[in-house]
Formats: sequence, structure tokens, C-alpha cells
Amino acid sequence: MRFSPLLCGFSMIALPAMTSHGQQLQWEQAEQKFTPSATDSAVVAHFQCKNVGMSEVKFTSVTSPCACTTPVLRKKQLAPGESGEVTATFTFGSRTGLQEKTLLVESNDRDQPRKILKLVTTIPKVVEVNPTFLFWPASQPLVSREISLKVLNGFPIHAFTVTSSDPRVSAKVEPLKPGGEFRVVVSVPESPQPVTALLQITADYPPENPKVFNATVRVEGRK
Amino acid sequence: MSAGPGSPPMKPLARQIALLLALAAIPAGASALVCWKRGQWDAFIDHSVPLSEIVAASQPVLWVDARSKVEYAVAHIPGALLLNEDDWDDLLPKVLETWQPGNVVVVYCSSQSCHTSEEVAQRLSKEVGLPGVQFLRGGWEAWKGAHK
Repeated sequence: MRFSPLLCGFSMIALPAMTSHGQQLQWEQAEQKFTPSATDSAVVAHFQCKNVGMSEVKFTSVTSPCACTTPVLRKKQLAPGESGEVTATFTFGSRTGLQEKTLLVESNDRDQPRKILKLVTTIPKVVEVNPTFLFWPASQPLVSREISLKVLNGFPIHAFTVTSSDPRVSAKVEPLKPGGEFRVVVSVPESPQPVTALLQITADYPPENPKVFNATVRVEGRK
Repeated sequence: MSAGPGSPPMKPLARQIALLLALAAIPAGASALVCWKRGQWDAFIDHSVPLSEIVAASQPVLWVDARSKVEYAVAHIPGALLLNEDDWDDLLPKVLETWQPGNVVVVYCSSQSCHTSEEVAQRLSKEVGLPGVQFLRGGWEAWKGAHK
């Protein structure tokens, strides 16, 4: 079979492009996974890269769409053969469960001028508090209501304490089932004015820095 | 595939184009096999509500801004309250004090590509138990575009 200039051209240009992509920056682990403990409040990812091309790579920006993730770029330009690093700190805040946070690295890399780096973090949920908001509209009787507390993932929680920001709103923790089920019984006052209170539910774990969970109570004024 | 004894021979150029297409199909097929993940397709399922639908609703709207404190400070939808997962415990009480039965809660973030509004809407609905929580399609950019 005779090959025409068209096929030869394709082989010379497209095939090398498909394999090497003319890439300059080589990232070691563009996606990093973390499984922090219940006491951790943040994780730090180190994304390492190397300039494997023949010319200098200049970074123009490293950004994250989430204010929770702070990137730091150690070197703004990399000479051929030089290595660099982007560090990203993901602060959990009140997040739990699977979290995927991304960074956008912009550079003059021929193949990937906009490279996405990813932090995949599974933040353990210690307790399920349900619901976190109790509301008594004016039309409903002021009977006591409950908040359920379920200890998850086998965390060694044996007791909770609860405090109310308004002494007229009373809250009491009762164990329900051994192995981590509790309830908070909430009673509210009758008042012509609306009542709002914040309940702070504190676990006995971890001992050095116990976990605190919040719930809000709101009662509409009665006429 | 060879041409039959009576059929006209395939032109060399057409044969080469067919060969190029076959060559291109190999990496494309391999890429599709390697990159196939159900989650990637799930990302295209859209549960957001367009601005036009929210504006047309007869119920009062409680806007919730799920962006960062800095972005909120620069500009936000009039009356919107800040609520994000960075300061959830500090910001949530204000939202719950303001919320009224019958309110439609609409959460927004920066743009179509952000997911924080969806996450905040989900928590307001599941953890807090507020009814009828939605999130704005296109986010703050959609609002800004409609109010130029």
C-alpha cells in the first residue's frame, strides 16, 4: 500500500501530539485523597510538578472556587527540569462526608494551560443531629418536642450535655438505646413575644476538644 | 473490505480517509473506556430553578447567599442572607430567625459551575428541615445579568 503525503503528515503531526501532548508540566498526583480523623479540622495537600519541557513554564494564577481551600504557589516559574509545588489547605468548617475541592492552575504550559488539581476528602460525621431547627408557629400548641442524636461510625461517645441560650427554653438529654442513640427533649414557654434560643449540645468526645453541635429553637409570640 | 469483481475500485483518497477515521477511533474508544464514570454524567442532571421562575412565584422569597464572606460583602441580591459551610454555625441562626412559614428559600452561589448553593440547599432541607428549598440556576451571575 502506498502512503500519500496526507497520511504521512497525519503520522508526523497528529500521532506524536496524541501521545506526548507537547506537555511541559508533569504533575505527580493531580488528585489526592484524604481520610482525616474526627479531631482534624483541615488537611494540607502538596501537589508536586516538574517542568519536563524544553522551555520555562510561568504560572499566572492558582485559584480555588471555594473560600475553604487556600492554595500557595512556591515558585512562579520553573526552568526546564526544575520541580515545583502547589500547597493547598482545605479547612473543613462544618462540612462532613465526601468533599471534592478543586484548584485551577493557570500557566503557559502548551498542553494544559488550565490544569485542575483535586482534593478528595472524606470527613467523618460523628453525630447525626435531627432536626437542627425546632419551630413552633403561633397556630401550634406548645408541647415538648425532641431532637434525635445518633452516634455514627462507632465513635466512643457515651454522653451529651446541653445548654440553652435562653433560660426559658429548657432542654434535657435522655439516652434512648445503648450504642449511641439519645434524644434532647425541648420545652418552650408561652410568651406574647417571639422566643429564640440556641441549644449547644456537647459530646464527651474527643476528651481534649469535645465536639459541639448546635440547634436553634424558635417560638412565635402568642396573643 | 475488498471491492467485488464488478464494482468500481475504491479511490485511494477515500480509502486513506477511511483509514484515518479508523485510526482516530482507536484512541477515542480507549479514552471513552478509561474515562467512563457514571458520576460524570450525573453532573449534567440539573435540579436548579431559573430566575424567571422565582421572579414569577407569588410566594415571598428568602434569598440565601452561599458564597464567601468577601464576595457577599462586595455585592449580593438585596435582602439576601449569608450562609456558607465555612461559618455555618455562626450564620445559620440569622437565617432561621428571618425565615417565615410560606417563604420560598432560594440559595445561590457564584455561577453555573459552582456547587455550594446545591450543598447549602441540601443541608437546609435535610438537616434543618426547611420546606421548599431551591437553588438558583446560574447563581449570582444570572442575577447580575438580569439586573444590568
